[in-house]
Amino acid sequence: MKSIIIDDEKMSRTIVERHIVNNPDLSLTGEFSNAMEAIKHLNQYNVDLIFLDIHMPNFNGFDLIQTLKSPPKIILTTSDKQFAIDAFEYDCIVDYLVKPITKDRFNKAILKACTSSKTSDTPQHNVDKKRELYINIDRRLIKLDMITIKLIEARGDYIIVKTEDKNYTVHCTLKKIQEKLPEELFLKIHRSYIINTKKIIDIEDNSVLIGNDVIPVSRSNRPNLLQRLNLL
Amino acid sequence: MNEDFNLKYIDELSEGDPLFKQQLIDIIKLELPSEIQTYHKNIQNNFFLKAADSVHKIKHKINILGLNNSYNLSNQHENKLNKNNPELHDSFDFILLRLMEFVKNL
Repeated sequence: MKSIIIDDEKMSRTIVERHIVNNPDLSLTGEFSNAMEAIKHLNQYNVDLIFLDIHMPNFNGFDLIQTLKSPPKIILTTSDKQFAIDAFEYDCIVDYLVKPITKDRFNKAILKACTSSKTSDTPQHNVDKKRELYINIDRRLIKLDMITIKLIEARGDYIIVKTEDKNYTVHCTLKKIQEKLPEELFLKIHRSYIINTKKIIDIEDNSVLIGNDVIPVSRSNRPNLLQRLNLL
Repeated sequence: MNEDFNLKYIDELSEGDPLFKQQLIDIIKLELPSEIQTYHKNIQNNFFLKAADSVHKIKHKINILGLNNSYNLSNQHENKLNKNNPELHDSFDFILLRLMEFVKNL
């Protein structure tokens, strides 16, 4: 696994580096004394595993995790046991090492990271990756590939899920389905519509064309939509 | 705080590699004086939150050098400083004096 270390203390980085070098499953591809440098690196290179210190000045470990849309596996390194509970809030965190880190404990964490089901895909891989959503239609659970969904429209107590092949009417709220959708693909652009941003054909004033559907964009959601676009 | 410094952790980590052991000792010798200086400066200026950050850095070294009780006191001091309470400063300062004396002789 390609790994990096993010820690403002040289001492801690040296210790983690030593453990990495001694572990055949790991290679060290970078070490950073602050989060901003690390983010630049993460935007350019694939990383499978981050050893991340929580307590750093200005921009702490949790702040960094929140800036990453699709973080790789993360092992937290910290002197403070009290942050362990917060760590459970993040699926990407596979273990929590309290300093000073011993060889045995380090190797246990690596074993966890290797066997963890969380993938270490880059953001782009995750966008491209096939994702599944099961919807309940007449007591049958139908599997949808999320990237085939064009848009979702609210209709009272129901939603209409429009895919490339077919439309499905499901008893569900827009809010509930939004929680199941990957944020990097889907965006709510109106109180009644969520769209797959990859399916946009064009945008005109306050509407978006997706397939043959012209979808309204509410004024409050327009800035979020524009932020997603790679505008010239 | 009658406990003795030791290099047990550093020895375990080094696994008989004298160069690595020396590398860790050099880092401690290099970083500790400036971290302690920063701590004192922050305490003198009543910048207790910044002082807590300094304690956070120093306590890791205290832990590495085997002082468990002193490490616990450092934790308490850091927590209190984060609440703008410097009451454990004198006890922590005594640990720092001993720490610097030990590190000088490494």
